[in-house]
Amino acid sequence: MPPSPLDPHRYPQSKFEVQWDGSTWTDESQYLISHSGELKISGPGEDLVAPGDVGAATVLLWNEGGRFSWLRSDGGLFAHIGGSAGMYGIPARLSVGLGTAPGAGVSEWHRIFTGVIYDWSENSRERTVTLELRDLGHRYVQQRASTTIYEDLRVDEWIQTLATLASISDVSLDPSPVTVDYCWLDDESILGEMWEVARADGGRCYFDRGGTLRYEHPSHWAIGDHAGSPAWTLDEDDYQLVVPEISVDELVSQVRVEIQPRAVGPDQDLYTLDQARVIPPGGTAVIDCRMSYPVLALGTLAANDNYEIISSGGEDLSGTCSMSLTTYAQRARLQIINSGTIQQAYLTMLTLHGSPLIGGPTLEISEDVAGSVPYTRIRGISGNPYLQNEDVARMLAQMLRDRGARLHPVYTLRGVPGIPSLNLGDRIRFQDASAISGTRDGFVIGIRWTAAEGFVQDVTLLDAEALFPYSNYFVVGATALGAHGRCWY
Amino acid sequence: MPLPEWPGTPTFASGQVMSAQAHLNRLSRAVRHLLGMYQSPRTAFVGTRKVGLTSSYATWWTGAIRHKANTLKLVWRQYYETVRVRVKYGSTTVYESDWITAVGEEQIEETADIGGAGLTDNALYTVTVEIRRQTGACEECWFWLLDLAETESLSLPTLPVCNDEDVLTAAQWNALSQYAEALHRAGSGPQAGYPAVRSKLTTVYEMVRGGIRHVSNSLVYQVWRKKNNPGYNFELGIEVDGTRLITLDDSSPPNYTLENSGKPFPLAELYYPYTGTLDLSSLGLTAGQVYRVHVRGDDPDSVYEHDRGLVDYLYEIPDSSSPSGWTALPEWTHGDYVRGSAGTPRVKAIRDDLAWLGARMALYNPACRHWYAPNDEFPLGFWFVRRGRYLHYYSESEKSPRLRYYADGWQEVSLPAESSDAWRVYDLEQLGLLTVGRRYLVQGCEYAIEDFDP
Repeated sequence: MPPSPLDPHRYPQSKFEVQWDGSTWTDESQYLISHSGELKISGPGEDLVAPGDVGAATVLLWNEGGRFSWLRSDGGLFAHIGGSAGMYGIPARLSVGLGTAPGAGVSEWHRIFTGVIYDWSENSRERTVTLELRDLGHRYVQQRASTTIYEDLRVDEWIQTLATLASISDVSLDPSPVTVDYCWLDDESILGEMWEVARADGGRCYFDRGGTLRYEHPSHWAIGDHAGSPAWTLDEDDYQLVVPEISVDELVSQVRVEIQPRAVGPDQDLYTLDQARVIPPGGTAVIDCRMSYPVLALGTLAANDNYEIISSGGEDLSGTCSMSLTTYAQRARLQIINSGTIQQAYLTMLTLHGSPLIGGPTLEISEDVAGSVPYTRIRGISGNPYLQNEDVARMLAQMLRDRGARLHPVYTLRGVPGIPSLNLGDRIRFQDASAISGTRDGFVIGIRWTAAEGFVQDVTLLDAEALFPYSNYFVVGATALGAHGRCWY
Repeated sequence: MPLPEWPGTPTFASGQVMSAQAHLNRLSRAVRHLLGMYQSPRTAFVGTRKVGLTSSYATWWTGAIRHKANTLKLVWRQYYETVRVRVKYGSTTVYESDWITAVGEEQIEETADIGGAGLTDNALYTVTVEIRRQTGACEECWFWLLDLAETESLSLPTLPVCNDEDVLTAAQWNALSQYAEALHRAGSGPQAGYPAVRSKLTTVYEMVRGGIRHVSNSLVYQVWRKKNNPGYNFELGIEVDGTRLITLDDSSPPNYTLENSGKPFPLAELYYPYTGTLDLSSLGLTAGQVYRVHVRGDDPDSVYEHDRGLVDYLYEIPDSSSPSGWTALPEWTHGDYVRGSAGTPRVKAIRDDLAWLGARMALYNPACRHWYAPNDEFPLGFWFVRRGRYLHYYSESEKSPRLRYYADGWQEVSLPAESSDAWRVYDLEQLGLLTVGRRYLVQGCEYAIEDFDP
């Protein structure tokens, strides 16, 4: 039975593991001197912490025998880290467990960080290496893709689709009530789009301490376990100082949300070849066609109707050339194989047509906040391509309206005895008689830790007071009809 | 111009927070949208009166249909006699009835499964209805085709009861959405153009004999009477199930509208327009019933003359009052309780309205009667009240058919034509002013069918 994290007779121990070969975790704890780091997320409706910036950690290792020196060919890990990229991008993770006595074993390890090695520096004199880690989002942040158009997907379903596209298998997604009419990628960042669609319904995406990709609907903290008793209750002697902060910028008198409705437009030409392309005998030409609009389905290609393949003398060669078309939302890849052996083929005309998806930022929803601030302060949400219909925009605007009607302080509890199992989003009850009457609940939006001699955390909390107007929201499959559960926005 | 787009239905998942906007209001809007679809203008099916039969099949009616479903419904009036009816799609016989005997004047409704005929979904077929007598010939017997349409029985999920204290599973919530989606598909059938006709050279001018599958009690009409009828009083009457609802004669003042005043077509100077809405509520019609509509001109003085009257259109429109059994659906806002059967807003209202629609809505895919009006014989041709997006038309001429509609003056476009016989499709979204609900006329083609599908 491990001791309570708040027990004064607890003895933290750390474990550091690295996947040097890309598949097997190697325990490097014997070289671990210290580590520190930070995890942070945003509250509901706030601008999201960018992918790759959610978590960062610094790990100090004893570099025995040049084990972690990437340029030393006699180093123990040279086979894995001696390549052109060194240690960059190698998965690493940190865990902390609590023992009952110094040197006693740990019965339960808690992962406190999962990510990849981002940077490193050696101190030859001290014979140490410092590794800088980033959360798993860093691994995917530059990954780009194109897709066809998906219709009527829930926010979480689109994130799942994107996660599958990026080969992210460890996911935990809240079922969102919001459906997006049309979603697609056009050579865009996969992770960036996940974050963007989460913003559209006021939710958040992040990689948690265990490396799981999470999507949380803005109601996440208002229902289920989060709405009930706190996960942890801290007394004033459990931390050194409460530092309350407020941001008057969150107060608004009006919220405006821009909508980008989409509709299927009339059939039209979407791409026209501007220069003849040459296909040598036995050769292949690949043409990337960037269309003027995204399209649900392209019209069929018919020789001498919307394309023409001829020889330099004008002979029709469409019979000896085969064409295959791969269509994405706003681009198409056309492959032409000239199976002839003598004549060089020229693609002289090509027109792709279909019913385009048209639309843009043409509508705006506004919600006024009654009597919160004495003068005009407008919060505008614009440029989000997933805000395609009025229902969703209204929902977001009303949530931000209520959020912006009052201040929501943020507290930082410094020097908390490290709680290895603490999650971002956990509800914590605390008190500070000098600043607040009674006890206060807050949701964890930041954890900063240092582990050297001990294991200490600074915990940042978003005030839970009136963060959500009601405490009895209706949950599908759980709440009875009647005066038992209330509607979300 | 954006179409009144189907708002779609929400998907529910266990553990989801219930959203006012994304769940309940979206579902409410979908149900209200369905009511609008159900009550959308429904033009008369124009049949023909067949007089006289022999023991060989004779053509009774010709038209076209866009194949959507495998149940074919025929409705006709028959006065005594024993007959057999055959329907062909192109050259394929899709249905042949048994011998059908009427005792007196009867309304016959036949339903046929045409699934075995090897038809292609969404393909356009010409349709021929033929009729024969068992033996011998009769010169006086008559038959009146009232409706010919494809339909299908809906596969609808079981709706949850939605009483207070019920805990609905995600599947039960989704059943509400799936029910609405099924009704939406059923309500998205094509509509056939209404063939505007003019009177012929007889003493009793048989202008329209047709049927309407009843939805609401307001019947819109526009007819024209020739201005100069020297020496006699030409009467033009509209009858429903044998009841004369209106008679227009020399004492009837014409009804001028922006659309029909001035000189909208070359013959306009010669005619008076009469337009209005007839109240059917006293006739005791029930929803889904096919009733007879008859426009006839009576010439008591037996003055034989062509073109005494024209009939532009006849169609039902929604009544101004809420239909019986329908509950108005309010909107939910943040913080409202998700109530079941008591209080307001309540989920049971959505559920009950869906059930109300489910008892009435079905795919109705009528055949379009063969008709040809040259481009210059305005206002003859196929009349539509726009609902869908794509116009399918068949022309045997190289001359482009024309589409005309009134929007801040009469607008006119030429539709693409082929050098050979062909069905063509035209995206009505290209016509910015031709909004949904606006009437338009298609001329210079043999068939015209409007659909939501290209």
